Amino acid sequence: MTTDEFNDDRYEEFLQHFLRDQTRIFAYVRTLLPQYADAQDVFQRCSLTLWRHFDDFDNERLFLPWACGIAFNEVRNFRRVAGRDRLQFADDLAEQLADRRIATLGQRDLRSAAMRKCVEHLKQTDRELIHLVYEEMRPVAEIADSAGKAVQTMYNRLSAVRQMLLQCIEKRIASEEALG
Amino acid sequence: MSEKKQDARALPSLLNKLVDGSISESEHLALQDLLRDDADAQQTYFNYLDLDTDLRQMTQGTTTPAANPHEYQKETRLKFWVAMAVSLLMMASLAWWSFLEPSEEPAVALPDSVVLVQSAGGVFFRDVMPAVGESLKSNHEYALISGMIELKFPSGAEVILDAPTVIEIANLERLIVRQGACSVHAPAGAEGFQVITPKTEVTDLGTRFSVDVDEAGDTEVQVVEGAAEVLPHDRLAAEKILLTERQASRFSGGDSSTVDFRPGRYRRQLPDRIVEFAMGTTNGKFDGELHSVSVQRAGVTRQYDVSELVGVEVTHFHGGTNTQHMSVAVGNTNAVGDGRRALIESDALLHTGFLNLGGSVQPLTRDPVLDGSNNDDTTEGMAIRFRTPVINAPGPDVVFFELQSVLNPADGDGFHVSPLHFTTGLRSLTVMRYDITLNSAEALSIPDFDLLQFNSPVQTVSDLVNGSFTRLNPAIPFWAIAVGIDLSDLGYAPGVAVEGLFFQDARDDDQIVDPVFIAGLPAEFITAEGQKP
Repeated sequence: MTTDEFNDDRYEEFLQHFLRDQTRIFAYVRTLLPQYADAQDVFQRCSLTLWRHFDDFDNERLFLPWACGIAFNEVRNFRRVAGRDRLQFADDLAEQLADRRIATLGQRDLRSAAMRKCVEHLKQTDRELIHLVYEEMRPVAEIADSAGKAVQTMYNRLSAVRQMLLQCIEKRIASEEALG
Repeated sequence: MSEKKQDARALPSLLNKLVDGSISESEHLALQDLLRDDADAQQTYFNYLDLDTDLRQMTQGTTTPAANPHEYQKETRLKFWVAMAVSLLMMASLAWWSFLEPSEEPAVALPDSVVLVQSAGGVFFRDVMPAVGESLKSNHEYALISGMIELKFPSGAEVILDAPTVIEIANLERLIVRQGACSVHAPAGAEGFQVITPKTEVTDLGTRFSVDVDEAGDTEVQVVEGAAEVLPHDRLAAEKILLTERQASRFSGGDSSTVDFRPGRYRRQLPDRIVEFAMGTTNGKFDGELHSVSVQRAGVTRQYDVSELVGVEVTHFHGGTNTQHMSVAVGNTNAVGDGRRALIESDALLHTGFLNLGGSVQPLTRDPVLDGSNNDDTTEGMAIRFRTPVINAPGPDVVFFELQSVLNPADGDGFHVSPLHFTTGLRSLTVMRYDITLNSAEALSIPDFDLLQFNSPVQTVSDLVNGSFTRLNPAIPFWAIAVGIDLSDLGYAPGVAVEGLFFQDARDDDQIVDPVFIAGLPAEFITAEGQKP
């Protein structure tokens, strides 16, 4: 009984931390594993490892850096196993990226919120492209084909849309910071 | 700063290829060179990845795939939780896409489908009410839990359903009514249309009739025009019963009995109401500016351009405890005095206006107190004066728009509307449900706005236009909803000119009414027959 109660409380506590930081942990993992599916894989394992080792977590410390430390190990294991199957960043670069990423994770939610607003400002055709690529997961070549456009033209358009979104996000964040 | 900067265009190109999964080995090496020891380049890299993650999650809603149950037997609770988180994300993203819908092309109804023609506050249980012109699914049970809707079948048959009603479209010629009330009009060419109830099968022979089905499945058929054949389920086809104009029968398990003809059971049209309104758009997004409003008055729907509407002036304002009394366009400068008043009154923006009226649980039964030696003594609420008097014509005479967040009551915030001067026969009207609610496909999203929270209680118009405030930025989406007010419901006689009205929150809940736009409708187009000249 007592043990169960303790575990329940502990579990609640874990969820509180995990809920708050999960998008940041995922962003951290993806920095090291830019392929989305790889990042998802490792993030999934990582969430379970975090819970298994949650007893080691010192409440006096911050959860995010602790979680990123564990995530880094999970990534390292993954990189070792995945080996030469895929393109990987050199170890020195991976470490640089990992360090710098932790420092910038604070802005993560702000950027997500800004992006959603920015997508709304896209032209209908651009939103449609985003919809096809990201929601319907249609290959760009196929989208180009059905639109009667060259594949490269479609890739260029997608790049341009990303560029517009990134600029819009920067602007929104800048203006929000200016407003305080 | 870095010599790599000359490759400013190379980096985005490589990052695009990276997220598209089309990067080559040599390009990957080049990317690493650009990223190494360059904080700016690394930040750009993070931004590209975050954008890609956000776009995927916005649409796919998956941070994490569901855990493999064979691998992690002991972490069931965590898996459950992760799955929950994923589904919540998914819901959020779905909601987000549907939020974009209003500015997109409506789904074109198939030529051979049953189409929603009109909805007056219609709400289905667990099904989204389609937009007008969109089709309903066949072989799917719909439960209309409130309001009224009109459907049109490909043959031309028109059916009005009155909540609560449970129906299913069996095929393009047959409607199953399990319980509730429907009115059918089958014009020439639509003969043969059938309504199936638990105890009967009613076949239209070119007519207007109503069918009411009670909990027991007993069915009452009233024929207003033409004729209909009724076949009780326990009879042979030869025993069909023919009902002609002004005949009515009740069918209950084997028995049929003639009942009184009650033409009122048949509904010719949906009630008078605000049917829809239109806003301007900027970059495919609603800009909040009201362009026109369509109102059904005495059965006739007419679209009014905003320039035809009769504007109002706020002559009294006494707020309650919530002092968030104004919404202004984002970034609007801090206008004071008449500038601030003009900002709100002279525009047709549905995201700007005076908010959070004072109120009272009981509606007024005597004149509101607008002047008092002590401001505490004046009546909580808002008085408006029409720029020219509004004539009480048939149907709605005044349009009332409110801004409402998705977290507020879907039906709209309840309010009382009262005469400024009570005379014999006049009374207050309490509106608890809007014509266009958050559940209506006709509700339109409005742009972000700044919310002005006044630093001290607002008891006069002067406090409102001169008071100091703190600026807040609501982060959640808001929508414009609307209701029409018929001056006859306040006891005004037809043709009477009304100079102003008094509005109060109904204090029915913690949510306070936010009238962002109120205007009178012109009367000149309504003739005695309710027809346009």
